[in-house]
Amino acid sequence: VAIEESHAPPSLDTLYRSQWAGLVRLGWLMTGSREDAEDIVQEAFLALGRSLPTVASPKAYLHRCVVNLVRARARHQRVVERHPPDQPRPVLPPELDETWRLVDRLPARQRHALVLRYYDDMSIDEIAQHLGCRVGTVKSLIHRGLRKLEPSVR
Amino acid sequence: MSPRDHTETEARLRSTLQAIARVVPDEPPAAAAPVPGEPLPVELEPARGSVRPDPTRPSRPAWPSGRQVRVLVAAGIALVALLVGGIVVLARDDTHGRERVETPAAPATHDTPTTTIDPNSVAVPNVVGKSSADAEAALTAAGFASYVTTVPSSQPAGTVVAQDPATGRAPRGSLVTLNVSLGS
Repeated sequence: VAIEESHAPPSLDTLYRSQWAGLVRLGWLMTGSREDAEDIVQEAFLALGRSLPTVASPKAYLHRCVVNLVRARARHQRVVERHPPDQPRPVLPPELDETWRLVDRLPARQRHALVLRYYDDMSIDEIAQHLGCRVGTVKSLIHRGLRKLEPSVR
Repeated sequence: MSPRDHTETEARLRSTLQAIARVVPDEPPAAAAPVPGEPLPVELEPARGSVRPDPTRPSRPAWPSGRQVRVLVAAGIALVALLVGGIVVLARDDTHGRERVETPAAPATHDTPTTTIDPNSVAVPNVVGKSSADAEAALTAAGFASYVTTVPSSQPAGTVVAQDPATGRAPRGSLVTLNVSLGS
């Protein structure tokens, strides 16, 4: 009880309500599967629940958890498993749908770098920290990823 | 490839990602339940949890990083030091006389670090089956914070049906989640 009063952290419940959607969105874009994303987000909240009193910034902790869990999952998955044929697909305008299809075919690391850059608006430095690689590697991942999304390369 | 193509691709990628993101509703589906109901203890067995890498730490690439190399080298030096120490002890024993040859010169010091228990961790009491008030009191007494969520269950209302972590040790002051029955 004393711990809660001294730190006054946001409750797990409040965090769940406010952070869930953003984290599922990020997880979905990075993994390509909404189901996987929801699993990952649940796991991130469980991890936070175990160490809430000791976490300085719960939002950053959750965000980091999601990125790390996405990466852990990608490492243990074969490409075939990553593209199950019967995934329900959201309905999008044709040119966006085509882009989403191309994103789905990108290698995991290129995809992660692109999503963190163009959805999460992270800087190249931040992406390098999150993906555990050098700045130059991030630039090359983004560059090669974008090239595969160019209309001329289709 | 012209730079103009690139900006177009970037813009198209941004709108695609945002369009997908909009499909996820703002509100979580199960209102106010950070932990799903019934199958919780099964999913969270400590054995499985401990195998999983700590998600708060950035996972490392497969090859050893500079830090890992340093740790390995340090461990190697420590091992060599232990071996040399053991040989010196053996040699000394020999000089003291033949009658002590039978006593094995196995220094116990080298086993002790593996058996020490983290002084900041506390055994988690099992409170499944207690009333939620008793459970919270027991957890507070043991040095934990508790967080209650209600779940539908055949148990009488107010009974703890599951807890996480269920067994083992956890850092003092950490949060134990309790699933309390709503009654059937």
